[in-house]
Amino acid sequence: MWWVKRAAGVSVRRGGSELAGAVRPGGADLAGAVGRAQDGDPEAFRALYRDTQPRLLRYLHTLVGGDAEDIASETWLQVTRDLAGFSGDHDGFRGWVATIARHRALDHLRYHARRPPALPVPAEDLEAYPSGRPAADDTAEGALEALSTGAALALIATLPADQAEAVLLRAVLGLDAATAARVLGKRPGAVRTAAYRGLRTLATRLQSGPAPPAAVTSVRELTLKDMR
Amino acid sequence: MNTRQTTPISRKAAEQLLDGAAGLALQGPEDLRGQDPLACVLAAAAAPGRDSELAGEDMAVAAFEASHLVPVATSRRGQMLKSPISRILTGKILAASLAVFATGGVALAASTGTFSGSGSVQGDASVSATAPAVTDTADPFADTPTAAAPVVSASAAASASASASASDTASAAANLPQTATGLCQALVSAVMSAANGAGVQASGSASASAGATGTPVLSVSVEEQALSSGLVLQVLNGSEFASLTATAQSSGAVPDYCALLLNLPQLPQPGELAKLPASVLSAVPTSALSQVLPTLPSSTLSSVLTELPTSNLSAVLTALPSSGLSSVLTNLSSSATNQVMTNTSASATNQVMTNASVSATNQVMTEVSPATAGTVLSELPSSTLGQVLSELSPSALAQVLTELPKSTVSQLLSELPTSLVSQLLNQLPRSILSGILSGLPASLTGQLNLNLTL
Repeated sequence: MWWVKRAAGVSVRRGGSELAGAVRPGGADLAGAVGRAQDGDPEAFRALYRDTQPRLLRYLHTLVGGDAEDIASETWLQVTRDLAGFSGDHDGFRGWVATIARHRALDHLRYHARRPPALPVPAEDLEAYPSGRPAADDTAEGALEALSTGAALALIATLPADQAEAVLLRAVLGLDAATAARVLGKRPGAVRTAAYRGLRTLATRLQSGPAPPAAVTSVRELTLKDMR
Repeated sequence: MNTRQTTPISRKAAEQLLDGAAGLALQGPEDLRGQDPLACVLAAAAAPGRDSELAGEDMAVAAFEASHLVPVATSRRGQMLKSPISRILTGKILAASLAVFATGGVALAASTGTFSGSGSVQGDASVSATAPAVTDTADPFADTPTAAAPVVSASAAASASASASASDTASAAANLPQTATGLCQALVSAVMSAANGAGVQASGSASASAGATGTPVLSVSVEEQALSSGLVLQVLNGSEFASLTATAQSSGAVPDYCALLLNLPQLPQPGELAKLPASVLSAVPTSALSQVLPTLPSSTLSSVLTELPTSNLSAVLTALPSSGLSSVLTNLSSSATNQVMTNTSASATNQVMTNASVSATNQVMTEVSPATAGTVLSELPSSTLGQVLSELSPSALAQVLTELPKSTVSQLLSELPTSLVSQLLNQLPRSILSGILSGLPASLTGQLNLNLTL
């Protein structure tokens, strides 16, 4: 658990000053929630879950598609188990959860990419793995008013994986560049650049008119190489 | 922050957009109207969570509470790759074992070895008679041996599994005696996991998650909550729980069956218990069944107790504490009371009548048929008989004594000390007393010290 070890004694939210002024849903209420949850307060844990889970699911959907909920469940189980060893504030907590989730998602993809031939994958697992990306139907579900969350995520998912991940960690998980960099195992500058490129691409696409549905369905497969 | 421009957005504008996405997401559609499309996309992606995204909230909190009961400090480092493999192993072995079960051979099913709790130890002996015998497979989340070992230390076999499965090979799956109790534990964990993930996945992932949540000892409240969840029926659709459903004969009866095996103080669906076949019910540990009897609705209680064979009925009734027994007896329908009192063994009848409260004794003795009342009272040793008759109200005593055959009355009364008989009979109205006395032999009536002269 590198995050826990590295976070010990170190301010997890380096570069947090960048976030000054940014509104965070429930940010004020959640200030002490991590500490209270570590003391065993279930309501504090509930507050953390409510804040983090939707963001996590959206991020994971981009990584593993329909298996996002599975991976999220496993992530939370590990979070409940290892919470006592975590050190950091609420922003650090989201970064930590994102790190666990990403590791699990990578394991998931790695497993599906090189499964041992002697152990055939059960049919149901194969069905869940037609693509590492969400199908357009998955992400477009539950449309909101003008632009649904699903459509927005589908659009972001059309970006190259490193850019999509950077954008999601920054905008959806609400991580600052330094924390997102730690999640991705990259330098903050690289993450800033990836996110910037991602936004530039999105802006260009949006300028040239609403994204055609084809752009969403023709998403290229996410590969492990993309995520490294 | 206008990025609607022909030149690509600046780095600074991008940073501002990324940092501001969450704030924009909180604003209403009107506020977003003037924003540029890119800001709207980011705001939509960061929109507040929907209910569907939080479907697993309660179960996640339950898992959190459960894990807090047993502090677990362990690292998954280096184990990440193994879990999917063991997940496959579990699924494969499960499939094979269920196939054996289906073909009528020795039934095998899976459980994760790390499960524990008082219920499993208790359930082993009695359940194996009716429930399929179960063999363990590799623990799908065997990377937590430090957590599992202390938890299962109550059972040598289970700890063997925990340490063996740490090596995470298929051969590590020692053939453990496993039970329906283990499957019930797995069911609880799978439900929690399913609720956590807001969706029920196919069997492979369900069993894998089961191992993960099974690591800590689950609290009673967590188990109750999981078994009460509507997700149980969905999880039961998975093939790994087919033997449970088959044993309980309907998926609707599984939550109650599992609650009994897990020794929970209350059933999730008390009304459904009657659906369990009597053979299964009689294989449930007596103490677990006794525990829930006082919580059952009258009709279910009556149905359950009348279906139990004599030996089980006697064991269950005698295992009840006095208050629980009285509540059960007063809750039974009249016809069920009659049948239950007829079916109970003599020694159990004695214990039941000794332990029951005064009001329960009165209710039982007035509700049963004269024949049953005669049987019950004749089965009692004289000390208990004296106690029971003394506890009866004058009207109940009058009813019992007038309805019983005269020969039985005289036999019963002759067992008791004459002083007690005198005391009992003196409570009765004169008309009834004279009727009763007329059936008694002169040898007995002569010794009585009654308030009236014949």
